[in-house]
Amino acid sequence: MKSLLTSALSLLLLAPLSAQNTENAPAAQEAPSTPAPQSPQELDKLVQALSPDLVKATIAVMLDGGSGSGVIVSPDGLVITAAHVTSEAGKEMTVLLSDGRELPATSLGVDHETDGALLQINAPGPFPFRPYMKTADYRIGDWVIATGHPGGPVLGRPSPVRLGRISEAGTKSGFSDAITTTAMVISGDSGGPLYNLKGEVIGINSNINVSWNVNRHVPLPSIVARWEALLKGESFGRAQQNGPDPNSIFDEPYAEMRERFEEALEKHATQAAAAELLARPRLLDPHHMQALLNEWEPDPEAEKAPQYGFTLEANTPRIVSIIPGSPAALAGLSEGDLITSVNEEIIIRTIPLTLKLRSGEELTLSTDSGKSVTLKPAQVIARKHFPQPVAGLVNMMVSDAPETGTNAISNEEFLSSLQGLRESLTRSVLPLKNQKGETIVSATVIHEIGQLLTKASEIKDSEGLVASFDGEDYPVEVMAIDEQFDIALIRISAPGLLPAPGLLPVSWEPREPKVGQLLLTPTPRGFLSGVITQPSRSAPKKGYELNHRSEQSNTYLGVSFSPEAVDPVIEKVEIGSPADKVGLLEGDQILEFEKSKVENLEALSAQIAKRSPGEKVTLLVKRNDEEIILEPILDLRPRTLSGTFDQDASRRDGALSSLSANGGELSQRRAGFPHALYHDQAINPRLTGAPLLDLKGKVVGINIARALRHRSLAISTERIDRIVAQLRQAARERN
Amino acid sequence: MNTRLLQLPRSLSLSLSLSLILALTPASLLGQLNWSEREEKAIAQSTLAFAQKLSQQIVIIGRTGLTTTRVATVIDQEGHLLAPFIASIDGQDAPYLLYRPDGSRVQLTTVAEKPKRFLALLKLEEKDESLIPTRISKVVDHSVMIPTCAPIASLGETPSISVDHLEFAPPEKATAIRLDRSLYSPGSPVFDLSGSLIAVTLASRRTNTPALFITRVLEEFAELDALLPELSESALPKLPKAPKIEPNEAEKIRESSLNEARERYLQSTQQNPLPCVHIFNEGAPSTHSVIGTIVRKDGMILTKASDLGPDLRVRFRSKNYRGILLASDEASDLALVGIDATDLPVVRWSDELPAPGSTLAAPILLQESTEDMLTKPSARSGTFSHILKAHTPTVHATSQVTSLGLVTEQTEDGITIAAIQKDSPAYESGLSPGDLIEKIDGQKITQRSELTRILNSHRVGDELSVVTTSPNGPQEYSVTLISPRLIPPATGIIVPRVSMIPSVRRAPFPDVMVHSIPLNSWDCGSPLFDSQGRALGLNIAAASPNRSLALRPATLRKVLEKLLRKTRAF
Repeated sequence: MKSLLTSALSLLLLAPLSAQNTENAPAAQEAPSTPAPQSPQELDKLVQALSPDLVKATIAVMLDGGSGSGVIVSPDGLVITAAHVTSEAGKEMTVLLSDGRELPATSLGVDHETDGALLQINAPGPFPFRPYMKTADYRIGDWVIATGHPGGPVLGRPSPVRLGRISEAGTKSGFSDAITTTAMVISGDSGGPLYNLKGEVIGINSNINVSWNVNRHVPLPSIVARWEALLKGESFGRAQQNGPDPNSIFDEPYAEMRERFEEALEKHATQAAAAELLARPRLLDPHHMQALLNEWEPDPEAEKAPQYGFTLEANTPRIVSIIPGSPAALAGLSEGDLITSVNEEIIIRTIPLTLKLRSGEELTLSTDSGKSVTLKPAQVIARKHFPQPVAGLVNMMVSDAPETGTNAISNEEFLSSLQGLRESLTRSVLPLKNQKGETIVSATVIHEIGQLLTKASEIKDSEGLVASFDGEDYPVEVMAIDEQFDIALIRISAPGLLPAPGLLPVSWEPREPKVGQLLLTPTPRGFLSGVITQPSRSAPKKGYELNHRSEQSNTYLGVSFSPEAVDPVIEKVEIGSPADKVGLLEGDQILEFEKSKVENLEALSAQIAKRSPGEKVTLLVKRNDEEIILEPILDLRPRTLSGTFDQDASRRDGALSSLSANGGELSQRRAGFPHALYHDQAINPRLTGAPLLDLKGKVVGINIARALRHRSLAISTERIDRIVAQLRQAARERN
Repeated sequence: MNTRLLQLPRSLSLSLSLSLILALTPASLLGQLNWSEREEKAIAQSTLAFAQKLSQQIVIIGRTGLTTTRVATVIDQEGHLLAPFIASIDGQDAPYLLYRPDGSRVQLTTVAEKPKRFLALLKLEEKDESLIPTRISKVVDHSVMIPTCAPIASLGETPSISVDHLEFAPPEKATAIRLDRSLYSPGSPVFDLSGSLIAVTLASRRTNTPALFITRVLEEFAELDALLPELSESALPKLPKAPKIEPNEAEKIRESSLNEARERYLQSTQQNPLPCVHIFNEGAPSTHSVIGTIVRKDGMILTKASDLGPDLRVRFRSKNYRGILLASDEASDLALVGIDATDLPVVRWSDELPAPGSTLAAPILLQESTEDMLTKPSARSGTFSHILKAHTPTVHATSQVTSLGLVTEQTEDGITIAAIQKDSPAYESGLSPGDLIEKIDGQKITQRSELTRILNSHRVGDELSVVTTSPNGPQEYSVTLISPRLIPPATGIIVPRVSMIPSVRRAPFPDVMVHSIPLNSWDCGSPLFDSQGRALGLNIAAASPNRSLALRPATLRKVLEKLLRKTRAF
């Protein structure tokens, strides 16, 4: 409690200072209008130039339950982040700056209605920062760049940049409104910035749909609208519940309605329907209950739907019954009438008729008995909809909002100037097909005698593989394979036969592409475009890409909690840790730490951090409704060495993979490459083996994997060069 | 001992409901699945054989005062049961109960409890000749069988068999295995494909469920060890070296059963694709998704009514149609949805009743990217358990119209109070657990049926006098009747930390087939296939983890006829 009070105090002190400073921030100055690049070259130049500064202002926000991102918007360390990252005002946390500094920070106000929030770094500046947009100035189709720390901060990895376009603005998406973009973000990016091509923060990464193309960001103007209040630490709305409450054993989503229904039953006990229900055990679904409630206690506020007043046969539009007093009854329609036309359009089946009835418009119906009536529907209470319960994710929430407008943005037109380039590539990039004629992977021509490179693991199980070129199928022979890089050198003519005429080897660009550089992958129809997201490095196997860990506390108990958890219920006990030694178990809830009540995860972590290794502490633990006391001796946190397996990293990779896999196909082998280029094109596994090109059409690498939602990998030209030399050598030796 | 190696990757688990249902590379599937297919055939045979012995080796237990039901394993001739630990109500020593298939219940003696391991050792007071001891072993295969029952079982229910997989063989000195899925309550027994008990699940969690080897359980359970002295570790066969399993192999095994069923169905009906559609709501696709089964070629589709949204879209063969809710039937929760289309493939039902333990499969929805639902065989398989008759009461009395707010137990002396609902009038009145009820409303009662009869002759709000016998002599209380706490019969549970989203409406239904295909609410409305490719029914509810319900063709035909006769009011 005491610590909460202090943070509230420090917050009040900070607020006016920040407010004053933002007045002078460059955001307040008149900025030139957002550039709209007319050509891929122009876009490439802009993004490359901007990227370093955009990354610099991006930070990671580290909490005990997980981590999010944020963006510094003033030189004295005011940060905009997402409400679901900080979750409440006055909380102490640690931020990781792009230069590797770890600094304490305090959360200011949170707005759960928009998912915007502010955070103050508690250290003297100046900090690298970016200006932010104050009034809405963006359009559908605008190019945007998202940064953040996908999967949490990774040791030695700057924030990856991701390029996309605005596909929709002003959608209702669980939060009041949002900017939807194609810049692919994922868990951990929450709270990170969305920039326009002026380098202004225009949005904050908030939530995603499983579809890779639906990434939602809080528009900055909606945060600015409550700026002063947020600076003062005010909160708006309530935190979103993620999925069903894990503590509710009996999940009765409509309990309240059921109660209301039971009351109504009693009140209307004289009615036959109610009496029948009262006399038997009943468990009605919400629709059924609603229908009866509508009848007994109609809610004048309820949503209305049009009703003409008759029932039909499902196959032929013959009237089965008429609702007394309805428009149909008043117009003289009667049971047995066969409806033959609607608005003079002949009707034979019921379904097309009901589609018309759904419109709720005034309709003229004719019947086989010669009646022709014009009906205006009555308004009756509509069938209410009761959503299925859906689970969500913390950090980056997967929202259930509709996936609209996703295909509205096509880069086809923008890239049309490159069509000539695409055509010349038809002789350089070939699809490899299996016996059924399905393309399984692509291959890049490196020598006109019929030598190509492709992704080894994609072809290893396929027999009778052929390369399609110029309407002919050529059998594929594997010459040699580099297991580490997953590259296969293949030949597409059987020995003794002529090679395919007209193959054109690609030309190479040995220099490594820069972060933010616009690159292309040829597809059967055109190009995919995207940027280099981060400096090239190894792409470690699952569990080997280490998270950046806060070095602040060396005291170690050895338990971890689910990122979804609020209560300190243990999800995992590290083998051999102090917790393990005293028999703490997964599922145990820690009620007290040294006789003081543990309110939540943060409180517990703070308590542990205050102790020293070697100290014995007393825990009161709840296990299966039983309370037990355990006395672990705290230990020194074991150092994780680079290149070693890490459980947390493994769990993170698993979670990111599965989230990514829902939106589209990932490569089977997608990690464990000694060195790779990282880019953000949504290539599918059939485009691996195809070249990654710069805007001049030169090859900077060979696509090797669709790794994650926000990550595709390519092997750089420099490495390919070495690999090819080795593979040719190996092939010669084998012969 | 390096148990760290046992951590299976999360990617195959069912965590967060949807996120981990992996999309598979389609087409090439059948050609490549030799190992999986073999494994799948072995599994199908094993579950069939296991189902035959199931009711003799596995029993359904609960605990006085609680509605929870679990499965326990018979481990010796003397009637000892290895059971999951069930925390008793208010920490009292309430006895465990055995629910017999005939609907009766028997009290069990608690020999030992190990809450830390979620286990209890129980004993039948009288020897029961119908039960046979389970073999115990430490042989680990890639696939295991796990019997489960409903969280609140129906009277006469039999457990159903779920099949799970290990991604790789555990190391030599491992003490536990990690199951692929997470849909089990702690303390569930795990069997190998020969039907021997090998492990017990340790926790229910969002990631892969850990299961402790039975040998390790023996080490910790001194009482158990004493019972079964011959089962020392050395007597057990060494852990065999298992062949390497490719990533996603478990998923392939699970899907290959639908592949086979699907191929056979398509062959026998000469149709393509499956007669299924994805029905969703224009406004919120992921919260109103269901599958529909086409029943008339001119656009008539049967599906689950209660999960339909207000503005229907129907996706078939990559095309979206506007859907119309034509009619619905409350009793079966079936809806007839129409689309303006012709020449659709129509489902052909089969009235065949599979043997318990038979492998079944059903298509599932990948949450919302359902473009390829019908071409990509995204599927889950499970086994058939039994037919659940309509109106079968659960072990918890659900037959009351009013309630005293008490959980009662039938004992030799009469009706005793096992537990009292908090904040109910009974709770306020001063009644206490353990009291023997002598009279209610002036009438002497000795049977639960008498109690039910009295309660059903009153209305909520009526005041009843309750006379109890306690050590201090007879006491009279006045209790106001309340509405019974409505626990969805036989179902209705989200097990904490298990990612499964049950249907909102899980009961009641007409006669249904109970099977172990793990469905989520949005997978309902789909046809249920057997391995011969016969469409045996339509999935109507995702009831609880590893337990789903399907309507049978007789019901489907009857309801369809009714729905076709008369639509809702337009």
